[in-house]
Amino acid sequence: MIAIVLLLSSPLYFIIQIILNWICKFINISISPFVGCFVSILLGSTAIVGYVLLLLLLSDNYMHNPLEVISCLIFTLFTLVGFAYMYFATFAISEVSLHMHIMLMILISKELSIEEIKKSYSETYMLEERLTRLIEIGQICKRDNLYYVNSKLLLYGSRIFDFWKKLLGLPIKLQ
Amino acid sequence: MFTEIVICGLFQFIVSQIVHVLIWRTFSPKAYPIWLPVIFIGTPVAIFIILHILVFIRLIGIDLNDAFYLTIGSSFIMHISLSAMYIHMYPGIIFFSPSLEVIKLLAERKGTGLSIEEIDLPVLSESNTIDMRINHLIKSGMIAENSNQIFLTKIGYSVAKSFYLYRRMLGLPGIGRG
Repeated sequence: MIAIVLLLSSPLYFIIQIILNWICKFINISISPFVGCFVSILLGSTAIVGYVLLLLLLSDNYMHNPLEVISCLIFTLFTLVGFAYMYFATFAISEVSLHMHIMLMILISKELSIEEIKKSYSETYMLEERLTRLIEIGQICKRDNLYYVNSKLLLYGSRIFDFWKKLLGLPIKLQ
Repeated sequence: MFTEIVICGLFQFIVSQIVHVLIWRTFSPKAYPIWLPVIFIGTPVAIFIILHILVFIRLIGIDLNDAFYLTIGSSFIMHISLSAMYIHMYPGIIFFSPSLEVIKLLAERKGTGLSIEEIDLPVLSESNTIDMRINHLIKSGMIAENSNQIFLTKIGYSVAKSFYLYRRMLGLPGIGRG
């Protein structure tokens, strides 16, 4: 039962995000797409974990065995984190992936020349978009036209990625 | 039962990661979209087959009953979830993310800050962004080029249309900010 509920987590996040976005539109509140995605995942995951806890509380077999309860919660969290990340990554592809952006531009225009694509993606435009996004999610801040690191979360993430690249024998600096 | 599920699931994932690291350090395959699913699905399937062989030749004694297969099935779901997360993350790990390169560059400056003009990232050069992506999309069969015009192939159209509809259902513009 728990495995089935976990398999349905991604559709649940999707439905919550649809409802959340339409509510925000209706009451005229503007939220960043990533914030909307993150909030949907948080709400959906809370509901699923709450449901699992309810199942455990109502089950006589598990409540007398603390190890089983902890294992059940670990299984739920590991599996939920995986599916939540997959949903977030799918959304991120639609929002920020340059591959997908190029494909969507061609879908809307039917066909495009390489020069037209390059005009839309100047180095300055891409840098400004990323700086805006990093400010929106609180990772950097801007003071007196200078940018500073505001939170070390993504920085620690980049260090873990560099460690993993080294382990796989891949370069950690662009060559 | 959940204890066995968590242990089996983690075991499958860790063994798959070890196989992945060993293969990458041996010959670093370029076609990771094919290799990674093969490794992360193939490894637990191989473990499953080896386990059955060991039971049938009586080297180990495990009762292959419904509870056993339920444990294996549930642990496989956990393994698939963690593996899918890793495979999704993999391009972000190996390709140089402009956002992470910005953060690393700002962190190197410690407290001094950088203006937008001073932020110089090789990862945002044309060859590392548009040219590389267009080449990837052509090689993967998503787009095709004819007399300098780019158009979607049938597969590319299906993929792009799916994402377009996904975004419209979320009430978002059909195309993201990039």
